[in-house]
Amino acid sequence: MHRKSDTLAYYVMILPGLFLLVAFTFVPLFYSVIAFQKFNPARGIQNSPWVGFDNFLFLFRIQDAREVFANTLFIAIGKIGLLLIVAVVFALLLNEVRFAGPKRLIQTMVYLPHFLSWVILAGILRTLLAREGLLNDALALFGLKPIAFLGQPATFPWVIIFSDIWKEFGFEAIIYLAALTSIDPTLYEVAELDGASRLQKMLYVSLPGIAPTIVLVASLSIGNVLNANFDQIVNLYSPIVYSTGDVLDTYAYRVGLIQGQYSIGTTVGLLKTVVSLILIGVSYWVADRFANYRIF
Amino acid sequence: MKKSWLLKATVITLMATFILSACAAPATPTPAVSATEPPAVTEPTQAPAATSAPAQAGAEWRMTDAYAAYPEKITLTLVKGGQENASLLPEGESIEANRALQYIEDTLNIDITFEWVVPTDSYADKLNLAISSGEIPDAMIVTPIQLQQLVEAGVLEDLTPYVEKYANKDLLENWNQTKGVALQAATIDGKIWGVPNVQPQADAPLMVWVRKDWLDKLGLSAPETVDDLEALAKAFMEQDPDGDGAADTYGLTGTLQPVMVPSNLHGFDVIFNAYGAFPTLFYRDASGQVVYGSTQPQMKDALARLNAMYQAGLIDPDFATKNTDTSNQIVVGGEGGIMIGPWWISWWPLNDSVKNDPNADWQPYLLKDNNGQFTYSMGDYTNSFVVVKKGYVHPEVVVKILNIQNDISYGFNDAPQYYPNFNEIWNLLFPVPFLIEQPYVVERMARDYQAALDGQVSPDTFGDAMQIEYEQIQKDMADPRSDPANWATRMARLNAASLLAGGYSEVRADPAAVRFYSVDPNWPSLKKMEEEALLLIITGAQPLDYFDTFVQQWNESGGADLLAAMNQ
Amino acid sequence: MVVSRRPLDRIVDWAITLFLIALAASTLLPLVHTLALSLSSKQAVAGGLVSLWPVGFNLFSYEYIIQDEKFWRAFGISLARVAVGGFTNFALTVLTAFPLSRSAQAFPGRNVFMWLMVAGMILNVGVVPWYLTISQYGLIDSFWALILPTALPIWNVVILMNFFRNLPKELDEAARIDGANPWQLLWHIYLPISLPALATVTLFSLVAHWNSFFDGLILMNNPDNYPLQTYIQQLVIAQRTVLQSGQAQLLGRLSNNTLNAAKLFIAMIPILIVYPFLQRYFIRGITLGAVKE
Repeated sequence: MHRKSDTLAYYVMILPGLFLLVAFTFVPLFYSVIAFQKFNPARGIQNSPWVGFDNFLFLFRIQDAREVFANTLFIAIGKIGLLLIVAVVFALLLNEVRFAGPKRLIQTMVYLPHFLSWVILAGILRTLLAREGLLNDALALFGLKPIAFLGQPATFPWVIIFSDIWKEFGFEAIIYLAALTSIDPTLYEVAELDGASRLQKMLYVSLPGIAPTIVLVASLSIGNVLNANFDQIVNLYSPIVYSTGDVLDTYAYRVGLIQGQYSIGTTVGLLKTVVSLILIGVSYWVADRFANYRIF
Repeated sequence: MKKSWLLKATVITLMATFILSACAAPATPTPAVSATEPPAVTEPTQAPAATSAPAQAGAEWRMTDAYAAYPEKITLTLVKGGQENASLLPEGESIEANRALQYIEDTLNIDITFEWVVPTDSYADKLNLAISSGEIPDAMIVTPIQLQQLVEAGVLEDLTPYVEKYANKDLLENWNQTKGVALQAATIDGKIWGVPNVQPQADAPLMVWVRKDWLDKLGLSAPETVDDLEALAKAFMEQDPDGDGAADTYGLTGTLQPVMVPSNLHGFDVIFNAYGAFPTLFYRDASGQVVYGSTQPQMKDALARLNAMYQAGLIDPDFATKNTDTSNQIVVGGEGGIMIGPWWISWWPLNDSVKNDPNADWQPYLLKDNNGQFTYSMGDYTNSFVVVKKGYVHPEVVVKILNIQNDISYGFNDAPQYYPNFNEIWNLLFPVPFLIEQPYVVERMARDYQAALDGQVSPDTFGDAMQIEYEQIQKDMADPRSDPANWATRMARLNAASLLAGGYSEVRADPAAVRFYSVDPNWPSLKKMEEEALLLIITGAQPLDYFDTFVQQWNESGGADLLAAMNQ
Repeated sequence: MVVSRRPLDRIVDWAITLFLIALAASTLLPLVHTLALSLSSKQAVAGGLVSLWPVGFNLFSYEYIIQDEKFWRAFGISLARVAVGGFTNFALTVLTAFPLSRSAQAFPGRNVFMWLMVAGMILNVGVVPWYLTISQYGLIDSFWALILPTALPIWNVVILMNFFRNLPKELDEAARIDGANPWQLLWHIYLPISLPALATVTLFSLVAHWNSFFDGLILMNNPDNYPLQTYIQQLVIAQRTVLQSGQAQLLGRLSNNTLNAAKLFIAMIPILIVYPFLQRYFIRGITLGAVKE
């Protein structure tokens, strides 16, 4: 039975959260209408002229937008793909470690970077990757010429991808480790009786065992192909690497807030939101279809 | 011949130094001419006889109005940047309460309050925000774009009736010396909507500052050309000028902004100028057409040179990811002996270098271009405006405040200047941190100081501000670098400014250009394209021929249309 | 799992273990390098002599930072936002997750609210409208700008809601028979039993608050209001050295490189302190997020 006073209590409980949700998510959504305006801050939303889809057409026309879109896809997909491979391989290897102490030690070490901010890590990376930095010193030991890792378009996106893997592979592996522990031990015993080598067990028992999890993670990642990680890039890039390192979020921030082209910045954000929405829809559908997983 | 248009550029004709009675005199007009205009010598305004007397030679009615106190106290709300430097103010004074502000309030019988005070960097953001929320103060300083937006929105008071009526003679003269460009910039649809500033033109030409102690130690001579500069950078890198036995000295420093006019610290502008290239300027070429400096063929020669220097390791290998502060640390920390910058960098950051190492004997030098001339990119005369909110009842008060501020700056009209470090803090003291300067005031003051040192004029005739500086100069001459502040003033005001006073040719942006590009939606991406291309070519990430690709892209992405519009 | 006893297997065991230890250790090398830089002399750092061990050991950087008011002010603001923000997150997560964990019969409109939450999580509006909204609320330069916009962590709500839904229904019914109202049910039954889940989501939000820099950068005009990450971002990444006092005199003994390294390291310390707790709970958190009844 359900009492009326109970229902009232639930409403009271959810009210503050709902209020904040409206205030900080739905109200900004309303402000997104300036994507359809030639917004003049002095006139405000009410009095700025409406321009229909002009801002969108402008973005489709300029080279910047194409470049930024391509960079975003490249970096995000590179991260998703490589991170998945590295994390799976790491989880499989860690699963082979029989010694409890070392195993815990390894885990303790690799999870740590996940909890550090990109501000801190970017500060560290900038020192590490400078011309006089430790990494170039190491290259010099092998007789290699110094590389301006953060200062040339060719290397920059790879620095972004690999530093992200460095930060996240341990953490990402947790879900695969969890999946590995739930594999039925008798499967290994059977394989052993059949004379399977260790590598064979890894490839034919462990890997298939976590395949559903891999499919799940991969499909949920679809929603992220327009997220290249603002915090990371904004703290590592500079004008010289815009051609390969500028992504949708950094572009929207720079054009919209720094240069004060509110309408263009908002249009970029709105485009990203719409495309992301579609991708998330796709990803949940894929997750449901192929991994039998529903989040809500 | 690619530099033929330059022949039209006229070298500043230096007027014989007037035996100036003091600064009350309007500047010795230094007729600077842009590349196309025929050399025109502005009529020198007559110099008043006495320092202390307000310039009464002109119309007295104007003088009265320009300083008249209000019968009843009026209020004025303002906003301000500069908060991060408040600690530079003398003990017991603040941005909201200081002697200069008090003097202005007392003189005009007004009560000034600040709605907010923020750090310099945040001012533009904060102001945009205030504008968008409709909470603008009675008066404020705005950019050309904001001026346009505010006028469109109809929230400003028309200042046409007040600007020329209430401005004192010095302000009018200073505007006049811009050949009308300043007031023209403030005029939209035939009405004056803002009071325009006038920037000292000395900030644009970049000099090469070199540690003379290192030069002497290595037995080298002062640089005069880009070739000399390159040789010097090489020597400083390879010959251990700091004598610590380690190859830890830099050649040339740079920043991620290799070109910016004016006041580009660690900028490469001067190297471009040497090749007859004037990047970032929309100027009129020999045929009278507006062209964009960054896409001209001369750029390619300069870029080739910079790239060669970079490949040879003579330019800081990480310059493209460094900003001004980062590169300053190289010279301040004693790791570099060359810094390119405007005339005033002895006040900052080189004073810090002297604080760290009293032997650091930085001296300024001008570089000649490939034709043996001194030719530099010049900045705009005007880049900001004071505007008044629509409906404010005493719009003229901003002009009156600017009159007094100008007097305090230069010790005119007996306006007291109380502060020894005035040059560092003037923008904190003044309610409207905004100067309407004589465009060539820096050069003129250098001539005055030199004349006083030569005994041709008595320093007693100088105003307060100049007397303080003159003392600093003399102290440093007696005991060089014993006090970094004195040294900085001497280097900037005398050594560096005298170089400029020696004359140079100017290449100046077409004054109408800003109206076009500031509202062009393609402009930010054109700018980005340009910044990237320059950095990529200098660092060799792209070959030199990429410049042609860039020019083509620039033209196709709206640059050609922009130029076409300007040339109509 | 069967542990093999063949000698080759033992060797492979060791090889894999040693390889992974080396790999794991190498992920920490950059952090060790930073610590070494912060403890080295200016000359050694400028000469590129420092790798993983301090050269010319000194504590100048730390001595300087101890007296650096601006650093500690920013540190204090970060601590304050972690405390206030963490508590706000906790309260709102619990208050929102509990009703959403009820059935649609018990809480009419539950599904509508749930969809609103999901929409809120997915509809990631751009930075410009976000900024304009918050500035319209007059929150610029206010401490609350660091708290309110992120006060409702929807992902945490989803995690906790799933946890609540997986609790045995008998608990609920027993309490109901005793006549408990929803508030009592939440306070006396659900909260005590959910402590591990609550610890997880709370730790997540504490770390998020500590690590956040962008809101401080955009929403605070006055650098005196910057939280630590924003302060460090401006100093180390954007290189706005005006934020540092007495720079010139300072450069005599230490360089910005050593000083920045020390600041980066100090900013890591709070994370290192809570890290053992994090490690205990976050695995559970991740699996919780993935679990659906």
